Amino acid sequence: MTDYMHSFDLFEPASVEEAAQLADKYGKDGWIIAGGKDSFDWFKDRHKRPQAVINIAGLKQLHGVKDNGDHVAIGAVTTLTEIEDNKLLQKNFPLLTAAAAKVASPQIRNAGTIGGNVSQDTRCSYYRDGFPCYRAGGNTCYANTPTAMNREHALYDAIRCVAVTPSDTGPALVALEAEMIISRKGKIRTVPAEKFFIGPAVDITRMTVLEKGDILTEIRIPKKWSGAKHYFEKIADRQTWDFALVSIAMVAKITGGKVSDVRVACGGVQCTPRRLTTVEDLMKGENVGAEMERLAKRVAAQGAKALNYNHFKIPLMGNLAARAVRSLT
Amino acid sequence: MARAIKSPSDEVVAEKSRYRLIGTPFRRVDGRAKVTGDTRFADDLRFPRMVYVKLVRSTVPHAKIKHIDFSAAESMTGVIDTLVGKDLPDPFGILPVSEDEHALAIDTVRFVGDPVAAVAALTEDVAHAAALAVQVEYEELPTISSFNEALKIPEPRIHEYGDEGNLHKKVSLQFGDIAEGFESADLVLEDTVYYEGNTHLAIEQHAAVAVPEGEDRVTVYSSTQTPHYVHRALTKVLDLEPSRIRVVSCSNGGGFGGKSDPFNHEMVVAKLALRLGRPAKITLSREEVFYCHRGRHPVLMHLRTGFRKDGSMTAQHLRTALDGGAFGSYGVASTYYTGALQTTTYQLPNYWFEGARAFTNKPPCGPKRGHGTPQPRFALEIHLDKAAKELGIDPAELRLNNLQPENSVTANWLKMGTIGLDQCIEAVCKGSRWKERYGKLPEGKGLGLACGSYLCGAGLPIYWNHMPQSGVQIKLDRSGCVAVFCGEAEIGQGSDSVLAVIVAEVLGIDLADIRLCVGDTDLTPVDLGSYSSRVTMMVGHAALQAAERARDTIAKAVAEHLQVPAEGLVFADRRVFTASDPEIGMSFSEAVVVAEALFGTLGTTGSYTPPRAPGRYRGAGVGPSPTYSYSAAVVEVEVDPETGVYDVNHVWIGHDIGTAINPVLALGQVEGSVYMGLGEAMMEEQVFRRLPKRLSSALVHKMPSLLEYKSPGFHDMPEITTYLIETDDERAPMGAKEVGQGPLLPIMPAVANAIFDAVGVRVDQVPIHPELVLKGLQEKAKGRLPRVGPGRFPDVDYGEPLVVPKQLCAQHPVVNWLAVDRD
Repeated sequence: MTDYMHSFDLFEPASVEEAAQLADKYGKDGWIIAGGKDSFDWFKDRHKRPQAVINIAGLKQLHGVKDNGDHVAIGAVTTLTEIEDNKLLQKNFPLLTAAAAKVASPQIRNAGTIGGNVSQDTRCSYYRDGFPCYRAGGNTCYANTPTAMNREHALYDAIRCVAVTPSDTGPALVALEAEMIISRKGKIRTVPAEKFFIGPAVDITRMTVLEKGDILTEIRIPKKWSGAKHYFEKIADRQTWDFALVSIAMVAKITGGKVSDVRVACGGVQCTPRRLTTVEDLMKGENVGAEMERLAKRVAAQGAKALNYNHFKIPLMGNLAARAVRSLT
Repeated sequence: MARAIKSPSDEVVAEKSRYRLIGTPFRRVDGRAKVTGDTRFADDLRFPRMVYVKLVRSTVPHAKIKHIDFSAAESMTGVIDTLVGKDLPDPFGILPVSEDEHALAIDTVRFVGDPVAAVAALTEDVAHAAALAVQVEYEELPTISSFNEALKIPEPRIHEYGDEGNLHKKVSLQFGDIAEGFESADLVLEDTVYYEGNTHLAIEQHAAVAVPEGEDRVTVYSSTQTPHYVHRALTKVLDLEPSRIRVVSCSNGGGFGGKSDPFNHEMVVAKLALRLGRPAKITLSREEVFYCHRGRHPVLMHLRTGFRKDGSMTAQHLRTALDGGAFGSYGVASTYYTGALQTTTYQLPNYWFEGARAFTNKPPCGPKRGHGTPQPRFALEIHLDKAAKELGIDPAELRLNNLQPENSVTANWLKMGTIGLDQCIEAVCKGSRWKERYGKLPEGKGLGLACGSYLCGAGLPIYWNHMPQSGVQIKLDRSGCVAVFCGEAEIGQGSDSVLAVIVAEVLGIDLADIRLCVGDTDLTPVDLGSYSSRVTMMVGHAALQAAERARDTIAKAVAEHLQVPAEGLVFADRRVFTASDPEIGMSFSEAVVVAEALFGTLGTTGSYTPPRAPGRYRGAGVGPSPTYSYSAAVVEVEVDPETGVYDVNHVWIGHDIGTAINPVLALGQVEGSVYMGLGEAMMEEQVFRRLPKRLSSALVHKMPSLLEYKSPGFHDMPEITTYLIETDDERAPMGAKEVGQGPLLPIMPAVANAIFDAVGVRVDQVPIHPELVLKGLQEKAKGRLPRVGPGRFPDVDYGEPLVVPKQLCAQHPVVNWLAVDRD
């Protein structure tokens, strides 16, 4: 019935400034695209019909990976394939390249950008199907009714909305303490990755801090975690072109057999990438080994609240955490 | 003779064949056009003054239509016409017993996606916008979402016909002595098994273009597997003489059963073309294809079987419950098929089959590759795996020891042909090193074996008649070109190539000398279509007969011309010559000239009607086939015990194909079946979301998109080793059986059996999502029964069983199940 794109005005700005002006001018009627992978879905389903589409994919300033000494800067429209193949990132942050390599399919990674991957909307099938849920401005969460199908949905922080983050690179960037550079009307602000993603309690209609008029221009990863041990795994229904049921991203520094520092984040379990701080805490300063693995498995999903059909995510989180720990030995 | 063909890279080695072309790999006759983009699919067709049509589909699952407001749509620039249900008041449906569909809903909608109205416009964009602008007011009715709900809620009925309340069809058939069979058993096993519904996912969306021709004449080009049945339905719905309607089946970009019903959109464009006097076109969106559906029925099954200590079966009681969706479609046949082919692989002396199909407010289910057979086959093959375990017999041995004999008649009166199942099992066991590895692989790795069997063409046509099921005409003339006319529909399976190569083989000419005209109801003799794996069998026979008649005619003329005996003439290498001295002869085109001079214009026909099946009971019409194909597969899996995720590493599959007409095409069919089977086993599900009551109880498709309907990708595909087993069945043309559907059947149960071998968890349902395996492992860790699957089977009153006598009553007339069911 839908499956057919509406018509809109397409803008191809020549600079970030021009893009910001257009974004500001059109406000809620505007829509920024780069790879368009998430956007075109929305347009084709006709649930989103922006009047002006501003394509920033051609902005050279927003493209490429640079070594800036204390950090590596990734332009927001750098494609996932470029990230996956980038030598600098492979050397410094293999966690990110591993996560990027797991996104969707090769064709989508060729066009899809890192900025788009972190800014994409949730995949909740009710929300995507145009139901007037809380997230869409209505007054029900269709995915959390007694008859709802919510196998893919949240274990945590499900306040009026049980949607989860679909991003594979999100948990990796949270683990790596990345910073997101956002431009608005010529003004630049910096937001830590962990704060970039927001839950329904903050704003139920958005997945990130980005508001209309904002443009994510760059992602900076501090060298702090350069060369650290890493672990990434994504569990999905199929091995390509799929979203995570649960994913895990970890970076850890080991000194003398002990974990000196570690950050772990999970995707697919709440609206934002979830830091597993209890796992981090039990690991820090301890010897890597079977005991740590056992404890990580036990506490990883602490506080999880399962819906009707997603109980399986709880043991899955525990087992993935245990596996991440095991990878350090 | 077993040929081991390892895919995909190994070259296919043709062994010495008694044929010149058949049995040797050749390029499919439509291959070049397909890869270069020359093939014109229905959506590629454009005609001057063509209008574009869109359907307005119901947004509610069950409701009365109160009012349709076209005002906003009609005010749009470019909107030409609109259509509603009463413009096409006559019902249609593929089976004469369930003509329950209308081109557009008359007053009731029965599922989300049910077409309500149509809009025609000058451009597709406008048609689309106008269709969205049509306002439909509904008065909602209670909805039924499952078989169990249909059982509990007989009123209001989704349809005013059917066996009882919201049960569309009930069947109970008893063969042999059930009580005695169970009494003589040493072990009685019971299983409740669930098979989720799934859809075809053909890559081409349905499309149709109708072109008005002269007065009250219309041609409909459509992506259909069954042009003849579409022709019949159009005749009925348009209320026109059949001679005024021409249906052309364009090349299908895959069908898998999803294009074998006559569809609403075909009726609508035909009507609009006639009314407007200009061509009308419709192409469904992917979302709409999910609503057309006609896919695999979700089936809950209960299986109770008596076994002797040696593993042989003494009796079986199978109960099935089919969730049919909103319309009849092929459902009556599907219901019978959930029991019919249970007897063709292993000896089963006493058999009781009970089946029932419910109407629900969801897109209609119908025939998908394997039609009704994969579900009970899945149940049977995991059931046998459990019996083997229980009795301490190797699963391969258990099967091999109890094979149905060749040329026998089964308990439900099916006449068997050649059976190469033993060779299939032996080939896959050897390939997978079953004896050394089954049950002995390290924890997490496992092997599973399963078998299957399928029709080579349904014995009876969809509607009762005494005419052939397939016809072929051949026209020859002085050019040397041989034109072959046949109503068959190429859906990617290679039917064009089979037709062409049989004619070329008999006449001793090249494939390039053949010109095909197919799937055109005006120009070609009737063939019933590409379903039930019937094309190679039936078109093949008809082509063989027509070609042999042409050969005989030419031979007669050449013999007279050369003054040699006709019997001694050989047709080969584009020549006709004497066997004793190849120098004496002439080119094929010269031979045609000689024949044309002698006999006048040349043309021959051939036709085929399957032999009468021995069954004489009501319901005996479903299951008979001239012969049956057989398959066996061993699947190797590796299960990750921490996530439940499993990889299928390797599939060995043996298929009794009779004769491989083109080994490479056959290989493609086998591999395609493995792929589709793995999708059904691992992830595919056509499921629906039920909204809470206060929100209308609507039933909506979980997500009608290619992304969210999970089907395996390249990374999920294992290595496949295929063994084509040739049993050269005399009932089949050149000995060739089917290969399009059978190889699918063993895959799903083999995966489930392999998971059991790997981690000791029984998953009695498909798809087997990783979390089910994980759940089974958790149960196992807690010391509970490591089984995941459906709970109890509902209490269904299937009615008094029809007890079928063991003795054949030869004088009893053939009872047609469709005709009988109608009254």
